[in-house]
Amino acid sequence: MVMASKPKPPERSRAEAPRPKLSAQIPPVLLAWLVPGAGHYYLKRPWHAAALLLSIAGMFLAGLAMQGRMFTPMTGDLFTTIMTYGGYFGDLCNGSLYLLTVWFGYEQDTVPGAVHDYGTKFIVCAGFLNLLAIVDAYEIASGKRARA
Amino acid sequence: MFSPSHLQASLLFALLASTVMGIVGRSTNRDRLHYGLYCFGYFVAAIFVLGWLMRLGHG
Repeated sequence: MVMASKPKPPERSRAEAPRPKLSAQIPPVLLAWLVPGAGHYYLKRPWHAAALLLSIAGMFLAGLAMQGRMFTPMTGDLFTTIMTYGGYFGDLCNGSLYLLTVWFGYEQDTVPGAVHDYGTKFIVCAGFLNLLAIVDAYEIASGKRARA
Repeated sequence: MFSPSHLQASLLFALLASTVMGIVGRSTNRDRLHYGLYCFGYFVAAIFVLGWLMRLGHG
């Protein structure tokens, strides 16, 4: 006698899974912007958070130690506009690191020399790396990336 | 003031950037480690090749 097998319930693909509420997605994104790694800590990934904090804050602080410059948005020719607005956006992505540095009055003029220039790039790149961390936190919070 | 040489600054950048890229770029810890090492290797290779190109270009 052949037993009729029970039909399996259809598997829900990730796209069909209910999306977390927007209110659950905003805190990790905001935290990730404010403090590098804080979004991952909020999402219960403490080791990733620690590594992100060490890497991003380390790069930012190394940039400050090299007396890198913060960008101020300026308009002019296309190159100046893109460079200064892009750099300013990168600086802003550092969140509280940038805000605290500005509030404490850090200011650095353009100085000739490779080390200062490296410092400026370190600060901007720390911001863009934090942007990657923010996007990652958003993807985890919104269920677009599997937890591992 | 922290004054690293060109090579030290580049290696520091490569180390920190590849750590972040490894964490956000893959979904499992094993893949993260591999991808981080992969990125770091390519950073170092690019530093080596571009360094020699600039050295040879300057004569």
